Amino acid sequence: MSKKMIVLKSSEGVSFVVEEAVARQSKIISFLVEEFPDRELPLTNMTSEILRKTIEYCKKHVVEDDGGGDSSSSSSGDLKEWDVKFVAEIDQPRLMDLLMAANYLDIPSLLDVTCQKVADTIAACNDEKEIRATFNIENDFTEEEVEAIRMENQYPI
Amino acid sequence: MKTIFDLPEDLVEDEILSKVPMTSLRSVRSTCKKWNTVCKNRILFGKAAKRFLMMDSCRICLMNFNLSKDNGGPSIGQVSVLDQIQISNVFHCDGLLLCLLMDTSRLVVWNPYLGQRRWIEPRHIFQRGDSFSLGYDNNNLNHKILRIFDEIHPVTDRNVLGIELYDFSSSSWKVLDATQGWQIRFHRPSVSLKGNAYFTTSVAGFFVCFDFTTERFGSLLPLPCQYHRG
Repeated sequence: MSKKMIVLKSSEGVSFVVEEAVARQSKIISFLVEEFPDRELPLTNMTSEILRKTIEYCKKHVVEDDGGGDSSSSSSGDLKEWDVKFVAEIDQPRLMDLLMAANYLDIPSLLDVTCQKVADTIAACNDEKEIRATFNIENDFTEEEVEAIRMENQYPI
Repeated sequence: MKTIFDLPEDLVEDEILSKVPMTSLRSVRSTCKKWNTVCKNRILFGKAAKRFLMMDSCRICLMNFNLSKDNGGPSIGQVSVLDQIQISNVFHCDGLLLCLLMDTSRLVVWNPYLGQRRWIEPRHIFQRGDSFSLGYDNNNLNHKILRIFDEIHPVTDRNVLGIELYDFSSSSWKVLDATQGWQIRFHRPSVSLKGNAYFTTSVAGFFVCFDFTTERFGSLLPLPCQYHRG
């Protein structure tokens, strides 16, 4: 039995043919394919590169229902490992784009791993200067204000 | 090219900064004014704000209140970092808990906010009746522990007051001159305020402050209301 396919179109007009089950991990797409079956779905705010990445993630995470009960494609441990590697390979600007895509398409698990990666990057910084440099954030504090926060957060352990 | 400031604000607050561990709080708050405000709200109105600590037969428990539920009842769970420990007494200061173990072998200071703990060994031994207070030096916020205890004077063989101070930065105890503190009723609980500890005294109607900055007891202070002995 052939699987049902749908077409997603990136902002550059590139079409991606995807299995419906894969694309349905996005709650938005899931809704759209029910409302507008057999129609190409334009994703005008998503570049081909980000759409390709999003599809790659969804393909890995689709639970294959081939009639054999809960035979998912990978064990949850493997999948976690794969997720870590997946986000580790993406540079920061693209990670932000992917995070936005996960938010826009409403893919909770992808949103979770991308946000966790940003949170881990913040936590890995030694101080506020490193956070600002990493995320290109402008310092709008005076030295006295930073010192006041430092004093408020001083614990012996 | 997108930056973290192009993301929707609620996404940064609810999905990203909420995942950063509390141990990075100082750096995150110092990054920019917006993040400082977000973190403050997280402290005041976040999950941690609906938690209470209680002591239940030698164990420290964390009580969660879920006010959005119909019954609003608390769920009580033991604090996992302290679950193997039997505690005889708890003292607190500025959100830190100081616990004396049931076997009096050592103290544990727990920071419920950051989920971290630190063990403190005695200079010689601790005793069940010891009084402990936590405080800090107001100049550099270095924390200290005051221990007041009964000891037998080696010459006169009489019960006298002993005072020791533990310094978190040097991780060591030192003995303080106890002649100033003879009037304090240290078996009564002390109260901690702005880094100093306050004790009732054997002089009716007066209390006394231990200043952790100068490491001395102050002079007797009159209580604002009628004091009843007993």
